[in-house]
Amino acid sequence: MQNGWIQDEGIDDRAHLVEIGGELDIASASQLKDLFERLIAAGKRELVVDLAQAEFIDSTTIGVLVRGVNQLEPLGGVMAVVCVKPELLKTFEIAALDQVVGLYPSRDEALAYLRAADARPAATG
Amino acid sequence: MASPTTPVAASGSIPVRSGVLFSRPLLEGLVLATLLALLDLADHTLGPVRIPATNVLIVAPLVTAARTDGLRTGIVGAYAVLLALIFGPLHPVARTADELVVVTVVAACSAGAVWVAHVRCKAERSERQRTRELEQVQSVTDAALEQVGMHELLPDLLMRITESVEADSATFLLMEVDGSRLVCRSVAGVDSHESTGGEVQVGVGFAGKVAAEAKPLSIRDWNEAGHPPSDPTLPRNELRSLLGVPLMAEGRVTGVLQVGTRAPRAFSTQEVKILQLAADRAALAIERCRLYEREREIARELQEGLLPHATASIPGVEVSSLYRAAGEGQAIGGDFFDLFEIGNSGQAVLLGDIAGKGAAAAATTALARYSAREAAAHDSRPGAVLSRLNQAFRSQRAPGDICTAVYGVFEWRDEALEVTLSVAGHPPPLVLNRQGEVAPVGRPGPPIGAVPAPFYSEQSISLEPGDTLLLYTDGASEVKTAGGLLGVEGVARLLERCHGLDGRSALGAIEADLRRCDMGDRQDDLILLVLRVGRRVSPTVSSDANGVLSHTQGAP
Repeated sequence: MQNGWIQDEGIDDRAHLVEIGGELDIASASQLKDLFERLIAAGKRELVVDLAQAEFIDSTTIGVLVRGVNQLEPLGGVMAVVCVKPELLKTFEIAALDQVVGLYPSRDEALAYLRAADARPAATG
Repeated sequence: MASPTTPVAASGSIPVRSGVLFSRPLLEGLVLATLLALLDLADHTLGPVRIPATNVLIVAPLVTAARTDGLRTGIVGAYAVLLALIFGPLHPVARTADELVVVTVVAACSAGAVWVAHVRCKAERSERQRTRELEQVQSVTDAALEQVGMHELLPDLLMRITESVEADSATFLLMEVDGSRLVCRSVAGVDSHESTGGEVQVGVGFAGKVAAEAKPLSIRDWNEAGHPPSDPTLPRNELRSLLGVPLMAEGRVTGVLQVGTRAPRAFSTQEVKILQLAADRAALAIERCRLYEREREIARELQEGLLPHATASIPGVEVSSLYRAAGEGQAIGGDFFDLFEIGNSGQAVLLGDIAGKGAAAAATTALARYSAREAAAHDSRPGAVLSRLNQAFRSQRAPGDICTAVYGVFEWRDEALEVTLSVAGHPPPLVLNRQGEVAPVGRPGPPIGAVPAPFYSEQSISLEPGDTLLLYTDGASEVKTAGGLLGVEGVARLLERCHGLDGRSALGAIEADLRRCDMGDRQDDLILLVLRVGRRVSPTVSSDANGVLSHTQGAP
C-alpha cells in the first residue's frame, strides 16, 4: 500500500499548487485541511489541486476539498482540481463534486480556468 | 539502658584482621553504637549516657537534636556510630579526671563537626526528597494524561499518591452535582473493599470539613484529638493520623483527597504542599475525565436516539438494518438513518454520513434528521427535502460541515411499491430485482452543505414483490480489499449474490462478505439497510402484523 503524500508550491502571490499522491486517509486529509487553511490565511485565492498522482480519495478528503471551496468562496477565491484517473472521476461523480468544484484534465487548463474566474471580479471592479 | 555485654559477645564473632583497618575496640564501639541506635529505633529516649565500665560516651544533645528534626533512625544510627568511634574502646581503661575532661571537650567538638555534617546531609536529603516528590507529582500528572474512564483513573491516582506520601490509606471523595454531599468514589490501602460508596454532608466529618473550608486539614492522632465522629467515609480500620486536601476545579470544591496512617504522625508543611499539588493535578484529571465521560454519554445517547426505533414500517416490506459504530464516545461516527411516516400517504427514509466524529457529529446528525422530518412535513418530494436540508446546513453549521445523504419516499401503486429518491454526494442505493440483476438508483447531487443552491434530481422506480433495495454508507463501499477499494460495483456484486434470500439473510450475507474482504486496518462506521418488497397488504390490516422491522445491532 502506497502512503499518501502532499506537496505544495507557490505559483504567485495569489495562486498556489497543491499536489496529492498515493492513498489519502484520515491523517493526510487532516494535513490537507491544515494546508488549505494556511494557504488561505496567507492570502492565496487560487488553488490548483492536482490529483494526477493520487491512487484514490475517500469521503473524508472529499469533505476537505469541499471545505476549501467553501472557505475560498466568500473571499472571492476559486479552486480547480486536476483529475484524469477514471476511478477518481467516478468517485467525484458519485459525490457530484463536479457541481462543487471545476475538474480539469491538466494543470494548465485548471490554471487557465482560475485566471479567467479571477479576471472577472477584477474587470468589473 | 541495655547491658553492653551483648554487643561485646556479638563482636567476638566478627572475623577481624586486627591492626589493619579495624581494631577490635573500634569494632566493639561500632556494634554497641549500632545497638544503641536500634534501641532508639524502639522508641527509647536517649539521655546523656556514659556506658558503665567503658569509655563510650553518647553525646545526648546531638542525638536529641537529630530526633526532633524528624530524622530517620538510620541517620541517628550513623551519628551514634561516629560518636562511638571517637569514644571507644569498650573495655574498661583507667582514666584520670583530666583525661575525662579532655574526652568531653573532644566529644563537644566532634558533636559540632557532626552537627555540620548533619546539616549538610539534611540539605542533600531534602534536595533528593524534593526531586523524588517532583517525580511523584509528575507520575500523578502522567496518570492524569492518559485518557481513561473514572473507574480506572481514580485507583491509579490513589496508588501513586499513597506511594508518594507513604500513607496506609488514601481516598477520593467526589462532590455530588448539587454540591451538598461528598461520595466516597475510590479507596486504596486498608479497608479499601469496605468503604466505597459512603457519603458525608459538606461540613460534617473530616472530609466534609475539608470541603466546607476548602483548605487542607490534618489530625495528628485521633486518640489524642478524641475519637472521630461516626463518619462513614473514614475507613473503619484504626487510622491514627489523617490529612485531607480539597480538590478544586475552576474555583469550586469538586471533592476531597484524604490520606491516613496507622501510626500517629505529624504531616510536615512540605507534605501538605505535596499532597495539595497532587490533588490539584488529580482534580484537573478528574474534571477532564468527567467531561469526557459526559461527552461520551451525550454522544451515545444522541446516537442511540438517532437509531431507528420500531416507530415506522412500510406495509408489505421487510426492513432489516445493521448499524455498526467503529468507535465509542469521541470516536463515535456520523452515520445515521431514519425511517418515518409522511402524512397518511407513505413513508420516507433518510440515510447519511456526517463528516466528523464525536458529540459535534452527533449534533449535526440530529440537525440532519430533524430538518429532514420538518422539511418532509411541508413538501415530501426528495429534491425539496434535500434542498431544505442543504439550507439548514448552510445557515446553521460551519463552512465545510457537510454530509452525504440519500432520501427516498415509498408509496404503493397497485401491486408495486414506488420509490422516489434523491442522492446528495452519497453512494447510490442498489436494487436487486427478481431476475437477480443489480442496478444503481438515483442521480448524483452535491453533498449537503457543499454549495449554496444545489439541485437534486429525483428518480423513481417501481419495486415489485421479490425485489430488494439496499441502502448503505461508505463503510461498505470504501472497504479496502486486496484489489483496491470495494466501490459501488463491489457492493453491487455482493448484493447480486443475495438473489433469492429474504431481507434478513441478505443483510447477514453482505455483512459477512464485507468482513471477509476487508484488508484495511481501520474500521469505519457502517450502516446497511435492506428493504425487501413483499405482497401489498390492505391498508385496513395493521402494519405491525405484516411490515416487519428487524433491527440488528452489529458487534463493534
